[in-house]
Amino acid sequence: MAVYNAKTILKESIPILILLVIIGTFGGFALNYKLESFVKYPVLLLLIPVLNATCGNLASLLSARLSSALHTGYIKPKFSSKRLKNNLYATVILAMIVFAFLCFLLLIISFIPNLKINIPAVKLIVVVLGAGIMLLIIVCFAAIAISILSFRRGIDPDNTAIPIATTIIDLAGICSLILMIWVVRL
Amino acid sequence: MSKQRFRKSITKRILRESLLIFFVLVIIDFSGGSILATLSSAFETVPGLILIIPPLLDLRGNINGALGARLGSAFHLGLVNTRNIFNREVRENLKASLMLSALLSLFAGFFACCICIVFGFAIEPFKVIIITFTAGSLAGLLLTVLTVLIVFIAVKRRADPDNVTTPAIATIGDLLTIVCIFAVVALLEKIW
Repeated sequence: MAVYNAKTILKESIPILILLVIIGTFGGFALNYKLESFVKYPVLLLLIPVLNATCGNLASLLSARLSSALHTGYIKPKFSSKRLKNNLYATVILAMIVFAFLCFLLLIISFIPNLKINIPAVKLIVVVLGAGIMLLIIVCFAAIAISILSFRRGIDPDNTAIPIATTIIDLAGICSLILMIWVVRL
Repeated sequence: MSKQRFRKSITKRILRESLLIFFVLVIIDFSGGSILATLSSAFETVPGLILIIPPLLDLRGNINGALGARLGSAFHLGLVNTRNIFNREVRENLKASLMLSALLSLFAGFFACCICIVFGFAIEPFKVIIITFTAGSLAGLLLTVLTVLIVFIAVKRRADPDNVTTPAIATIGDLLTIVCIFAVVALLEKIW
């Protein structure tokens, strides 16, 4: 008798995946709302996977560190813990360096003439940094809140923090990008 | 150790161990993003296509990330080993993963159409469903093969597959899905 059965796997994964598709489609719906800007300035489309993946990785890093620390008792499940703050500072510093690298890459490609990036470099960087910092605040808050709250309830944060945080980021990433596009009037 | 120095040491360690991999990931995401950017005209000619980009990207990482995690556990449990690659356990896992890719891609296409019709947005239902289903299934197939390959290479090299598979799949998954959508759109434009 095999341990894994295709039917069982299907039955257990379909509900959560359907939920994921629905949430994802609402993200797509938001993109559709600003479609004109994305067609006019394709470089904005480039930012979607970059911002989402970078902030998703930061969220995974922070959540994984927090849940290990909670399990080993290194961090107490309290929001005011000093060690929690140290982890938060480290994540923010890492994020700032990665964002700086991202801006640097964008600056380089904006000098390549046949890419048709007809956005002033300053505006592009304001969009990236604005959306990135907004997302970073959401990421840190979500990762910390989900880890601590699920640990307090006796749920393993390893199973909850990363999937919930990355799903929030997929949606929030698109929303913050669209907000910044609206702010700089592209 | 004083508080100040302690804080510095955590930051230093995270930076030393993660910064390089973050830079590499940003560069890979940049290439995925550039391909997505070249699709911008297709989003205009096929209204509604842009709706299925986020759900397709989410699906790939999650279906195959879970497959990688299950195969990793199967190795730890001793259900699979490198000499016996395609036994029943692996076959059932592959079957489930491929079926999920096809079914959920189809659902994503239909759901995008429903949303557009309900909210009165322009959409070309046929094209969107065909592109979603073909690109989603194709990316699912390629990524499933790749997942098995990564797990087996990790095991052969005596690395814990749990540490390697999920991040690798999440990164390659986005790029591969965007490439598949691009390929299907380009093919459709030629024959339509």
